[in-house]
Amino acid sequence: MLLPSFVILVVMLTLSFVTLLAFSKTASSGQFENPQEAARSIFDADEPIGKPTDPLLQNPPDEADSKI
Amino acid sequence: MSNRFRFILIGSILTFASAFAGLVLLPVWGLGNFEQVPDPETGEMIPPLLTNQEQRGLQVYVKNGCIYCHSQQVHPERARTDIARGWGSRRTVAHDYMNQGRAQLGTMRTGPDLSNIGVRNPSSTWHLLHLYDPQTTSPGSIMPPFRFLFEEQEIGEAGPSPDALSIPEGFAPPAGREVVPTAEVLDLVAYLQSLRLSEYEVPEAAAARIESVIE
Amino acid sequence: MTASDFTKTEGLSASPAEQREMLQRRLEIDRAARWPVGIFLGSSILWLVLGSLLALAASIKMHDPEFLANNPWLTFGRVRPAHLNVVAYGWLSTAGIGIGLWILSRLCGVAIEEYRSLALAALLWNVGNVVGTWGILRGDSTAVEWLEYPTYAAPFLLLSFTFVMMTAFSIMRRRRPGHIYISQFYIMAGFIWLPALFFTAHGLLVLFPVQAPAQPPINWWYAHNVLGLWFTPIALGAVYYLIPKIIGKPIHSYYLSIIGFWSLAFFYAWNGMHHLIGGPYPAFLITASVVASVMMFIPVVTVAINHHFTMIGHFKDLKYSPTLRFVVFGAMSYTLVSFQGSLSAIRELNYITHFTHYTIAHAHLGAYAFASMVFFGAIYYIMPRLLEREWPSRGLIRVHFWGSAIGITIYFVMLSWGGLLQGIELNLKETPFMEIVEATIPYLKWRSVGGSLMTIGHLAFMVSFVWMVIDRRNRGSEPTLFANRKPGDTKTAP
Repeated sequence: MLLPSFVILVVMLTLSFVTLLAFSKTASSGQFENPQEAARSIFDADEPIGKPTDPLLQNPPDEADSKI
Repeated sequence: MSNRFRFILIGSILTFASAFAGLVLLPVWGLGNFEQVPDPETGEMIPPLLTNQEQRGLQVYVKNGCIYCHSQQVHPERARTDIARGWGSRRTVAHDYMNQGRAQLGTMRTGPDLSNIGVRNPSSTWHLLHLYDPQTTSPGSIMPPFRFLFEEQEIGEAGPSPDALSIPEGFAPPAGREVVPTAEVLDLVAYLQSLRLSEYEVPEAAAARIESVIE
Repeated sequence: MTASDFTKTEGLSASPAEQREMLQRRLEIDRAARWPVGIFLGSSILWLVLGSLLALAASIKMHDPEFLANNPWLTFGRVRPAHLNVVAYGWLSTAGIGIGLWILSRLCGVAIEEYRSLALAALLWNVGNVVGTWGILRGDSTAVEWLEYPTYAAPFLLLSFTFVMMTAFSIMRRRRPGHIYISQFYIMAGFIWLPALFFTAHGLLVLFPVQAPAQPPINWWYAHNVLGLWFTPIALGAVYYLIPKIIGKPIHSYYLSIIGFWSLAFFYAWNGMHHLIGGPYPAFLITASVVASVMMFIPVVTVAINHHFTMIGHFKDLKYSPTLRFVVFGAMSYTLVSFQGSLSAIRELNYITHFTHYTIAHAHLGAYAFASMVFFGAIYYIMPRLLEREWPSRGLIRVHFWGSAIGITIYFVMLSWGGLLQGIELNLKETPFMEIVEATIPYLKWRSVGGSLMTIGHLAFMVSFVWMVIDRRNRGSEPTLFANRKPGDTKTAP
């Protein structure tokens, strides 16, 4: 198992290096600025922040029946 | 394709590739090329290749899902009581499985481990009865009966068939009828009798015996 | 997140014209998704019911071995893998495809166009599952755990998934400019990983099998990754979209979610060998998986923090929203099952739990309490939008939720307890094996009780779904009740 293990080790180190390289390139390209904007991107004018969109949450029937 | 999407794609492929290298390529490379070796004492090649019948028996084992209750791996003493329970004389090593077409290591021990069942229960009669209805040999067992691997038939004019099982009272068919094994179940029994995975003195066996205790 | 951040974003100060435009776009997207997504979701529910019946049969057989025992098609060793494959590929995967495509379509802001492809994909996927299930019961199971469908089922599944992937890529390519949301990461990654896994595993283990000693590592690399790189990403992608969308609040820390994604992608894939601890494999390989399993704490904690802090202040909504309830139940179960998994991978603990019913209970905490409950919630959210009408009966939803929740709780608690006792006794060499078996029987019976409750829930779900599809009276003459809302009208705003 010695030769295969060595080869795998080399493969892993290469992959790790490539990954770190990809990360640093992405970071310098500005993709990681303002991440919280991405969190807000799922909302829009029709379904804005602050407005629940569950149909059953939207129009609950009277109190007595609303508990499930 | 934007930068970001490309980044997600490449990253997903790279992370996948790293584990693929370690958990797929490495086993194929390092664990997929075992060869038989001569036994140091007798000179016969071990582990012995399965005969055609034993291979067919393995297929019966596979198709009926024996793996879902039975394991085929003896663990070291440090980890479990396998050796103390008589399930093998040493832990099994990868080399031991090279003669199996399909590895049936299993992940459940609803029933006992079968790595060395050929050593522990060599008797065909026992296996046939047990497979026909586990209650006959092991009362209280939750193993299902495999009566469909047998044929129940009228006892012929010439008398009972030589292969007929002698089934205890309460489980036997009605008078005048007998139960004979099909070729399928005979193959299965042959396969079970071939299971003696810890018994071969493969090169890794000596280390395995030591590892069994200290790992 | 400060209060002022909320006012700065899209929506609260939008003009009526902008609102109408966004509404139109949303309606267009949901209408385009009606048939393609609807077919996958509907099929998945049928498979869920079949999978539940197979599960019940298998469960009963374990404490009553004579149950349905005389027919080879129904022997435990075939019913059990049939159950597993049906719920994995028939229920979870089918629902995952539908949910994944819908969320992608929504987040990319583009309507699905590939009707023919997806219709064909749905047909092929269902045929593949039918053929595979029949194959297992007939006696052609491969006995490779989690991959038991015989080879002749595989081309249907692979071809189908090719169409699914092509659609997913097409949606992503056509997407509106702007951010890529974390759910898109997870879903696209899942859509790439599954075929790679299946193709490799089926090739190396069934079609052109490698030598036997190499098979188990590949088997468990595959099986664990079906959970970690397919079900989990789709389910997490759904939770990350649904919790914020339902309560109207952005995810707590997007930065954390990115860390969570990449650490999951890297560590999860290495977990597989933890299924083989103590087995005939080199210690370093097993240790690699043990380490990766424990490292999973990182992504799991990021997810837990994110979901918890997002939900803070909104927990009371759980009283009113069944969708939210299913999703949050699922999200919390994810944290639980992952912590449990990380701990179970530690050798000393594994020596007790491996080979026992404890592991089965753990598997169901993951595949059911996490993945299935999230998918239930997702379907409850998606269907009214596809069909533009409401679920017909709150009562049925109630039955579904409580059947599932109580059922899986009984299942998990009783089977884990029984499994632990089993494991402890197995490690005491004086305890005869048969005694250990007998001691598990009460817990196996409890499992059947839990499973029956879950099945009742699923039947309620199926009735709900069929009723909703068939009964068109509920349909408004205008698109959905949401459209009639005036801007700024937040009846139940938190």
